[in-house]
Amino acid sequence: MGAVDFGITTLTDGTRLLSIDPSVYRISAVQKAAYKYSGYFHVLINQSETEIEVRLQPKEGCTSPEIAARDFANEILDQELREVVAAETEAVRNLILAQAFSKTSLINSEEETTVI
Amino acid sequence: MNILSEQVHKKFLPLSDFLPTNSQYKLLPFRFIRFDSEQYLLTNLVGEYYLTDRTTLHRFIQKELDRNDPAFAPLRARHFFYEDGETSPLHLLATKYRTKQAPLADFTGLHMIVPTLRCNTSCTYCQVSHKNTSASACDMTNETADRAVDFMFKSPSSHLKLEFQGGEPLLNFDMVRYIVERTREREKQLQRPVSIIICSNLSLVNDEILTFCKLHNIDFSTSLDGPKELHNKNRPSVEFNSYQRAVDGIARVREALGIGAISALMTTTMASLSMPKEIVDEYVGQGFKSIFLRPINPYGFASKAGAATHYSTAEWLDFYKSALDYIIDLNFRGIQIREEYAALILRRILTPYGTGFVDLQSPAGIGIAAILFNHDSNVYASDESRMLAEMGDQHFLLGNLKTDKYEEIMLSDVLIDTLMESMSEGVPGCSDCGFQPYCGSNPVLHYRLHGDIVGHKPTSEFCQRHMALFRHIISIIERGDAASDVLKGWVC
Amino acid sequence: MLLNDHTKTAWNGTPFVVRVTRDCQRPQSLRLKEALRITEGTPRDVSGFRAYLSMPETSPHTGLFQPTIELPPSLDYLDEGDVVTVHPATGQLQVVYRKHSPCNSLFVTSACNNFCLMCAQPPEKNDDSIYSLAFDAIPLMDIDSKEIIITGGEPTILGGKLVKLIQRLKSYLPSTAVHILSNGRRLRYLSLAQDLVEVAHPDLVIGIPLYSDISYEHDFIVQARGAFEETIRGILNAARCGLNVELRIVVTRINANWLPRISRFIVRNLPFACNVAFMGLEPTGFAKGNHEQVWIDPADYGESLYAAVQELKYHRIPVSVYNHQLCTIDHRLWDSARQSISDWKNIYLPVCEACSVRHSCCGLFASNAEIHSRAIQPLTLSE
Repeated sequence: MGAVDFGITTLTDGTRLLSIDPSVYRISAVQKAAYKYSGYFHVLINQSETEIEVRLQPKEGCTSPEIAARDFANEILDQELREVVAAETEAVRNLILAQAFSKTSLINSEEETTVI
Repeated sequence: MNILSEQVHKKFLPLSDFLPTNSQYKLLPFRFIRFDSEQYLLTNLVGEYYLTDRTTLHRFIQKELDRNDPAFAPLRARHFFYEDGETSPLHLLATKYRTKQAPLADFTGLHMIVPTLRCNTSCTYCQVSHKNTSASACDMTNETADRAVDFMFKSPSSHLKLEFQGGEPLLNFDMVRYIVERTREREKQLQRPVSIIICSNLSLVNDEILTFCKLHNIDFSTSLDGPKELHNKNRPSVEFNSYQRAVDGIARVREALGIGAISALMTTTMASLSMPKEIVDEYVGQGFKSIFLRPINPYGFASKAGAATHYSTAEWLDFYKSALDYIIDLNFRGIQIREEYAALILRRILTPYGTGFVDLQSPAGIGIAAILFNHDSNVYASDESRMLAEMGDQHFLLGNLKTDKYEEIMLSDVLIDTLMESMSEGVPGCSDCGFQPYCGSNPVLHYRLHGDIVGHKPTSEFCQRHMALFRHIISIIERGDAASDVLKGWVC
Repeated sequence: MLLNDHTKTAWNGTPFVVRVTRDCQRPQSLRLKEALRITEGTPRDVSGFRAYLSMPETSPHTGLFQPTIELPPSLDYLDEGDVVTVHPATGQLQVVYRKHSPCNSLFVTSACNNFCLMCAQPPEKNDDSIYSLAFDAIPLMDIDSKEIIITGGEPTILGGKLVKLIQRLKSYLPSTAVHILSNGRRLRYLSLAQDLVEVAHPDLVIGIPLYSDISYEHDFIVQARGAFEETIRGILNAARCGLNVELRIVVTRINANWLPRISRFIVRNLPFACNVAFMGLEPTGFAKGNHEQVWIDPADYGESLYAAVQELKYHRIPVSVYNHQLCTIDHRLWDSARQSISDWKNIYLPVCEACSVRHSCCGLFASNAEIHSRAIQPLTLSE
């Protein structure tokens, strides 16, 4: 094992190892964060019941892997929140888009109520 | 009716009486991205934005903001959340979304047509193979031209635009004439206006051509890469002084057709990078009120020449920012000149209107916003698709005017699949990117550079370039200073 | 100048509306709807007019002409072509139309479904005759009238009756612009918006107030829960049907600092507005009673107003500044300032005598005589 800092372990070959708690962050959030950082790192993700293990191997052009790895950790939380927002707003988003593409006027008419 | 009798005895109520009773608000769809070291950028469904720190963003998502938070009112007014009893945010968002998408419904407007591939100049970044001036196998036939005009009028667009490309269209002016006459005739019959423009290096402009263009209300677009040395270096000709012909041509067109009849654009090459100020000065000196600072596209000659013509995204951005700073400075001094790349992005960010810009929209502009009829009757999804074909890759060939019907071409698998699969709303990285409302997909570019139409956005120069541009322009707006005012003046 | 006053003359009778004339030889067919101004020289055999208007000095003749209404001195200006409503039971005289005024306001109802903190024309006990008198007044107006403002109260409360009124205006005054002042709430009923459009009036604008970009702030100012929601829906319906909508923002102490964000909201959500008007407060009616809460010196919101106007200008949305004296606003806003105060309401202060731009300035409201900006001062041409 290498040095541990901020929960990120640095292996001797420069690979950064993160252990992520799947009860806090969903796998899709980790995957999305990994995709975003796949310009800086080659990424490998392993999932078990108790942990999601992420290996980040810096690419040639990656000039500051420590900073990038920490940013990656932040990004996982951001992705998790994006999923929260997406889940919560899915229904209202569909409603808005349906109205946007509807031909009929949904602001109505005789009653005081509208379709929404 | 008795609203009155209650009211005249009513007391005036305090603000607290009008607040929503339930203090928990409901989120509306939004995206976010880290903007700089301190701030995050939030964008709603239609690109209205708000900048804030990470803590506030997280508290906002966790429904922890209250009415006294400075972020509360702007996020509410800009439709990032709504409260009990409100339905107007949804009505307004739906209306705004429809407004932003409206250019899509107009369908294909830009119809590019290549009367000949012959050319008398060898621009270093030329995106079609150079053919010498005598090879008439590169000319369009009358039959193809007729079919192309028919095809164009099948589009439902109310903003039809016919654009002559090449080669150098004026080398086959007979064909230009043929196509224009047929177009104007059809236009009258169908009562459907078409704007016509010739993209030309102006080397062959003469009185006969100008008289014809005046009669038929034709505009010109030309390339002006910068001062003489730079222009001639980028766009050399063995037959003449390319810069001189361009500048003389601009004067002649203005004289004959009016100042508004000609516009110019530039392409940035390695040689351009060190001359942002000189390039802008050239445009000012030539009396242009607008300049479009375009990076080079990796097709044709440009990619053949390899590293010598290739600069990095960072280098281009430095060039762009210097040029933009200088342009803003000129505006302070009362010289009106607008940068068009910035103006387009500003319209995306600050106005409720959609902007049709083929290279930066989602779904992509290929076919559905612009289409190209090649001299050999092949139909391509875009100018870049044609360039790819010249390099030997027919991936984005949609069909052929001689053998395929309109519906077969416009509903072809290659077109529909490409549009759907590359839409930024649906691909990794883009779908939840904070800049998504301002950006677009460019499937042809990504196909060329990365081998697939979606591309790998974390390493995509298209992505890097645009994210940097959005950050730069938003930063200037946020400063709220005189530079910010100059930019705001460019939205309309 | 007063637009209404009382006469001592009173009798039992229903209210009626008449056009004023000085011509004692009017064609008989017109006299039924006209009131003749009688003088010493009026021939004793003149007859057939609906009413006769006298000044006190002509009293000796009044017995001859029935009914003769003694005009109070305040209404002595009444002249050929002006239109007046007469309420015999109360003696009230109301000038509803002045032929020489470029813009006349026609009051159509005193009922309202808002209760604005700064309302200059507070709702009163409703009287159905207001509508019918307005309806009757229209044919008496001059066909060359430039503009008629339909106001109240809240005109859309009249529903179909408002539509009939607009139709009547189109019939009798086909080239007169009509400007309805409404809070827009009733336009959330699409049918009302559609009915108004179907009249196909050649020059109709609906002026709708918007006091904030935040619903409950607007609701607070108009003192009605849900008003913002309904107004927005009304505006959207109106736009959807093709009606011209003007947005009006009365600037009060409460919303003076919100102006730029209101502009931003309009730019993004209501960009179809045919005009946006920022209006100076008229310190009368409720505005007087709520003075502490609503009055603010324009000199104290100059930056906010400038930024708000500029935002709209960038987006090419037409913008006007009403009821702001030129000396109280940034000179870069002068091109947006309008002569917005009706001639009968407008005054100038003694200091204005020396001002070189007085003739381009809207002046002040009569009610500003006591309450006005500290920045009022004469300007010289170089400024």
